[in-house]
Amino acid sequence: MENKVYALSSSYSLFKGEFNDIKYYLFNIEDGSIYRLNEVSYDMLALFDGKRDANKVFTLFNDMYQGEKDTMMIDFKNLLQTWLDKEILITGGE
Amino acid sequence: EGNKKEYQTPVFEEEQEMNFSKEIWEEC
Repeated sequence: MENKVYALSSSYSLFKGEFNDIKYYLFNIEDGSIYRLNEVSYDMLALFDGKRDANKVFTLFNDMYQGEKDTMMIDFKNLLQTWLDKEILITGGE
Repeated sequence: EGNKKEYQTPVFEEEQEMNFSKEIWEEC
């Protein structure tokens, strides 16, 4: 796991809405695209605040959920890479 | 441990049939 700090790009907005059930979305407010999330991916993305490094984010994420740590680590790394590739998360912060 | 949520595979999928409008949001 790396010690870089990431934050949500200003082109994106996280959304949690209470309809008949709770829905989680990520909006690209520039091109209008919408990504569907679930609680796990929403919580994960919300932890990237531009202050914590990726190690700290995973530690906090791991503390929030009960599951197989190795699986969580693989999922975390895969999603982190996807979000970096799509420039949803950007490098920066303190 | 009792306060932890049950882990599920994270979902991240682009919606193909729906877009977001900043204008509609600010003012289906």
